[in-house]
Amino acid sequence: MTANTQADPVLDVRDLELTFTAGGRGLKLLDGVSFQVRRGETLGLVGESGSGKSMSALSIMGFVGRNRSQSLAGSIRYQGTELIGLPDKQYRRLRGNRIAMVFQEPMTSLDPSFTIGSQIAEGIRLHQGVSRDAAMKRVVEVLDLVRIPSAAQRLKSYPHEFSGGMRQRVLIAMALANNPEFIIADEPTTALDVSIQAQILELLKTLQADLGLSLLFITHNMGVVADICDRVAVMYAGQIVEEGHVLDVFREPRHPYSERLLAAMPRLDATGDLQWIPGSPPDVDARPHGCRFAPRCHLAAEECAEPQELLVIGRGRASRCWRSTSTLPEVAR
Amino acid sequence: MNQELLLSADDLSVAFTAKRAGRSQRVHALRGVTLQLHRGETVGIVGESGSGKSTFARALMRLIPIEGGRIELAGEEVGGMSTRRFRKHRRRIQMVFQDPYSSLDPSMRVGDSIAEPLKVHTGLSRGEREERVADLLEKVGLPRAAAERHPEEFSGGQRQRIAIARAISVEPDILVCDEAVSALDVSTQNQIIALLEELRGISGLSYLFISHDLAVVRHISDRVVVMYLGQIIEEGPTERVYSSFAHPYTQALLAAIPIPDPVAQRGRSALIARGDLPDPANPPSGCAFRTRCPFAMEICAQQEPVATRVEGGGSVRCHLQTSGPQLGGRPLGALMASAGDAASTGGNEGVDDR
Repeated sequence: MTANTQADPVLDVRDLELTFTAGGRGLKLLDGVSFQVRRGETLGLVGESGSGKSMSALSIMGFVGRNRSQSLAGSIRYQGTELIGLPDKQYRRLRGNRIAMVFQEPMTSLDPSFTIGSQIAEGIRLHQGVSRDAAMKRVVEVLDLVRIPSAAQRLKSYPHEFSGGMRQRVLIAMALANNPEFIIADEPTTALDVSIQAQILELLKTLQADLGLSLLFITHNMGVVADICDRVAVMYAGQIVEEGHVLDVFREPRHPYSERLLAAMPRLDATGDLQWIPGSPPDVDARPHGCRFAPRCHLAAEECAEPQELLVIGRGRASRCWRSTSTLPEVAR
Repeated sequence: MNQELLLSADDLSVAFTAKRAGRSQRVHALRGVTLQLHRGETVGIVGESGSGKSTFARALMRLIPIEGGRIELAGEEVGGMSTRRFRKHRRRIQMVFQDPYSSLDPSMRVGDSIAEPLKVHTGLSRGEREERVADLLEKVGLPRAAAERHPEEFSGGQRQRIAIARAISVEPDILVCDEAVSALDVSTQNQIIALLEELRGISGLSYLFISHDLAVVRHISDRVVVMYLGQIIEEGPTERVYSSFAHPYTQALLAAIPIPDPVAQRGRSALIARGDLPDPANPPSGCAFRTRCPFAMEICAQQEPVATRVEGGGSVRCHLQTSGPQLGGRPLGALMASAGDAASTGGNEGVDDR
């Protein structure tokens, strides 16, 4: 439990376990994932491909873990409502309404054969039960909100008539249409060029400040985390390995994985040697019994053969490494 | 560095005919691009989607027809050559693509994939090819036994190693890497870059390293070329371009990269290039960047800026530079330094200083 409890979290995820069963074998994709998103804050979820970032998001949205071959254990409380086990009908009422999600690929998340206006209006009418005209009025409002120029004239445009950046704005508008309190953004800028990424990040920051949104921001890019997130949770092999305020984690990462991940970021301002983590993350069915990062860790020791607990190491900070209670040793490299 | 000139592109142009709303339209994807690559050198090509960097690579590889200009490979004009005659030159220039998942035939053993170019370009026997494949696998950091396996058994980074082994199998002079590390996680990306650097050291390869990631390009390149809407708008030695950029677009690109340091990142003044890339079928008059440029002046719409030499090496196409280092009586450096605030308030983006 983190020390910062002045406000109830909007989203409270506890001990999340997601298991896919195939051919009589269970694969645990998420293992004891816990995090909280507080009102008006942005929590970054970072890690390499396959670390479980997107699976965490899809679990919250109820897109995975809700059938016989996929089981979800633990707890996901959204503003006091338990989402695990929530009936489909109630989930549908929540999704796209009070919780919305923005995906990475703006081209595949929009239907190419319908106009932008009708696609956004559909979600508004579904959740608010308003007339077509009222829905269209709201569409113009949200398109304005995401700074799409001459919004009223763009209602009849099709997705292909927009640039990648504009399509991502449309997706954000769609997510905002029903005034959600909470948005999950899964790599929303990864497919975009850097100049467009900068525009979208600015937009998200402005919207968040104006609307008091809470954001779960999934990315593999530490630069993006540094730009937009208040707190960060670093994932590795289905677990959170470090969590804390962005300023603290970047200043002094306490888990060797976060430390190495930060060191590996190519820097515009430095020309030192490139750093990397040897090897690659373990397959889901071949995760070590002890610390999952140990086989790749330059600080691995005997203690790492045992499973590691997420240790509270300071105010709002936790790390899944026995070394984290003190500063990580410097290693000559 | 050895000064032997391996590749030169001179005033290269490529145009496509595209169907827009039922009408055929000429799209100039590459407009008068000139570039030289020497032995052992790495030239980075940066720019956003639609800048023409991949078109440029494909034109050099003779994968698409060129409309104008020359391509010289080791002193011989190959731009106008028939595909058939070009075949014997193709060995010299090989390519590694972005997606390691689709660039290898999933039904072929890795060893056969790597040996394929050897079959086409050399007279090696089957046994000799197998020996060569095993050597190549070791060279790229994979076990010899990998030859027997299929692509699906490898991770993205390992597949990119296989793609590199295949590309260097015929001992090319030049390796064109088109977003070759872009699909990989950062740690894997760095491993592949280190491998490319190692291979350059061993075999004197030259690279054309195309990427949208300016940080990666800075690390590997000796010189950098910045492209925008089918043109080179700035080029020069890497250090010069990154530390004293001369084009507002280069500046905007550099400013747009979020740096992995929250204190520094949040303290930066945001110079954001406004709007989107213009339609390449209908490029702006004068300077192609003027529609997004925070410094655009009248002349920028009227005249296309010519390439001007930059102190410290290289050249730039920008009217801020063609009219001398002073603008409106103010030194250009001061103007650029105060650009951040002016640009963000002038832009159509809401800027939240946090």
